[in-house]
Amino acid sequence: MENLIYLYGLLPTEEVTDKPLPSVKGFDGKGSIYTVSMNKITAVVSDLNPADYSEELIKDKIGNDTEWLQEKAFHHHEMLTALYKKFTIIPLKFCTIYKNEESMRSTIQSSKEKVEDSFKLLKGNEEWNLKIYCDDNTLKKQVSENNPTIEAKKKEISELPRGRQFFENKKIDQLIETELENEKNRVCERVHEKLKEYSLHAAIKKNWSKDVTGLKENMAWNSVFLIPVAQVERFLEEVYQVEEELGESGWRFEASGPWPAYHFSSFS
Amino acid sequence: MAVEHPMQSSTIVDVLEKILDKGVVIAGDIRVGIADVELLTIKIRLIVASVDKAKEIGMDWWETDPYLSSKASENNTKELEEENKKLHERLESLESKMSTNRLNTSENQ
Repeated sequence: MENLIYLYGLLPTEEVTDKPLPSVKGFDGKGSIYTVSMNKITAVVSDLNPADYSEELIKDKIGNDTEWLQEKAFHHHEMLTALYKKFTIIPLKFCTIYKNEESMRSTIQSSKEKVEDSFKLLKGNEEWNLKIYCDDNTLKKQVSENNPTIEAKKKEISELPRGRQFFENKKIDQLIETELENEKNRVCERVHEKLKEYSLHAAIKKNWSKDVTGLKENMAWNSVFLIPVAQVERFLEEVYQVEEELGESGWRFEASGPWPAYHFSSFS
Repeated sequence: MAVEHPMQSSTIVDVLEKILDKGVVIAGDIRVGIADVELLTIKIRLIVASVDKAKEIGMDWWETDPYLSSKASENNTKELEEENKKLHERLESLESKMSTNRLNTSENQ
């Protein structure tokens, strides 16, 4: 039976001709990675034995074997990171597998223009991720002390008869929660808009829950930027300044990168 | 830079978020969908929550990867164990809430 082909990513052929690929083991941990060239596009692949990597087996592993998934997911990322250090690369989604080389060639051929456009977009630019975390308790304290809406409400309550004060004070907690969320969005949007100035493209992603991040603070913002190499330093300097300005009040800014352009090379 | 990674787990989450959720989709012949990145990330984070465990299975490469680990701080094993325990409990309750086949994969095209 013919070997299956695991596709990691796509490189511009012109870059591959003068630099060798890193010599590393492929997805099954046995065979090595190799390239398949289609004119301007070169695919980085490794072979898989169809008996070990059938659709059913892979589905089963992903659903039921977390250690396997973790190992393979990190392998995929590690490979792309190694390639990213030397080449312009379009990272493929985890577990993109073809029945044979012919099938892969024809699929890639049909997306040829999009792939070549992505190479142009990515060359000379870096993908960075910014996650903003916030200690809600610290911030809540400030909001309840310094927020004009809440200030006004408190004043209003203090002028009420005592019996009603009790109930109105209960409501104020809710108001503080709302104002806290508003304040968080205001800060994050301001930072995002500022950082966008350094980037070609920016996108806002979903925030992950504390179950996912394993952190004590809430994730308040999660965004990605495609930044020209020459601007990266200034982007990071800006993040640093924002951290200086807001770090005391419970905010934390986590920029990471450069990443293989998982986000900005996307096309459907 | 004052941008810190308080724990390695945050970089694990970064990696999984990207590779399981993102990356270019060019249809493969074998279609493997990842239906619930969130739950898978929690599960995977659990098994690498302990640094010792990560070393044991050879997944400690990010400690030396300048891209990923620049600021991995000292880990407190006890804290991690405690966290691991809590996460296990949370995961169990999450899983029991989910329908039996949330992790099913996408259909053939």
